[in-house]
Amino acid sequence: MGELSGLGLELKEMIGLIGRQQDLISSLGEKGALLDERKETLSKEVEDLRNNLNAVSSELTKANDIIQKLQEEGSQLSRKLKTQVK
Amino acid sequence: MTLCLQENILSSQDAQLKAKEERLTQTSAALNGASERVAKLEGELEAVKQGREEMAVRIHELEESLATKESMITYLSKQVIDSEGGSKQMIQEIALLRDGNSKLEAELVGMKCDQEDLEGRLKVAEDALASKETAITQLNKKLEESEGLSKLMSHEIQVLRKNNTKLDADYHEKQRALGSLAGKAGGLETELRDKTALIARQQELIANLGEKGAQMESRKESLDREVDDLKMRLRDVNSEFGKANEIIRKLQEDGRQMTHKLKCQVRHLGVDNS
Repeated sequence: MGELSGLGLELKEMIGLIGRQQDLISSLGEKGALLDERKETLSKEVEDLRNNLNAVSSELTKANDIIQKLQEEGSQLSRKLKTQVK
Repeated sequence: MTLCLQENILSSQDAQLKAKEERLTQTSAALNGASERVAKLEGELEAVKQGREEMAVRIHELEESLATKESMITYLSKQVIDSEGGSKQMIQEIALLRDGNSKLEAELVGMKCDQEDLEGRLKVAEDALASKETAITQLNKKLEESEGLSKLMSHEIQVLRKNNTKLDADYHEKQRALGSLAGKAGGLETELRDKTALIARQQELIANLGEKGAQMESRKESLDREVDDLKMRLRDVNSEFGKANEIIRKLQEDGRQMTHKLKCQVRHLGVDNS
């Protein structure tokens, strides 16, 4: 009878532990889902930022080209102006 | 534990009961044997008494016959004496009668010896009978005691049997209860095994989820860092882009001023030349 009570008690404790573990699994599952969602958002954000960065870099390259061209034109005009002044 | 103790007590009581029954059976058998021997001795004694009575009758008859023949002999002798010599035939007859008388006397002596022998045997038999009767009296006393004891034991046996029946019923009831409890215990053990396996699976799942969570956390941190880095780079590039635009504007302004200056000088030179 004592052994049976012991088994019953052990079973009760196990059921409690299973319930707690089930709660933990649910919580971990929810946390996992949130992390998945956050990962998706961040991945998208990273992709957008990379695209933006590429676009801006491309624009910057163009600007550099323009600057270089303008600097050359300025140099030419300056030389031309000095020649005429002479 | 109590049931086991009760079974031990019952077994011990059964063994004692069997030993007592065996002793009673042995006593009864001994008493029966003694009674049979006494009956046999009584039969023998009766036969000896009858033989003695027959022998006494026969002795009496012989004594009477002897007395008759002696009186006859006396009478015949007297007759012979009276007849002064008597006839030869009478003498022969007397001789025959004397022979017969001698034989009868011998027979009588033998029978007396037999009677003495029989009386001796009778005495021995009577002594044996008295001894046996004493033994029978003692055995009867023992038998009465045994019967009293037997009644007590029978009563005790009945009480023990009743107690045994009760204990047996109690034992069977407890056996059934034990079987039922064993079944329940088996069910609980199965359930415990199932739950233990479920707990192990859950713990494995928890470990996997924890590991996956840690990986995802690490990946998130990495993505966060990457986002920050990209944002910083974008800010830098935007800043550079602003500077480049500023330079372009300045260069364009310089260009315009120089062009204007150049145009003015060209016009001025044109006026001078004209």
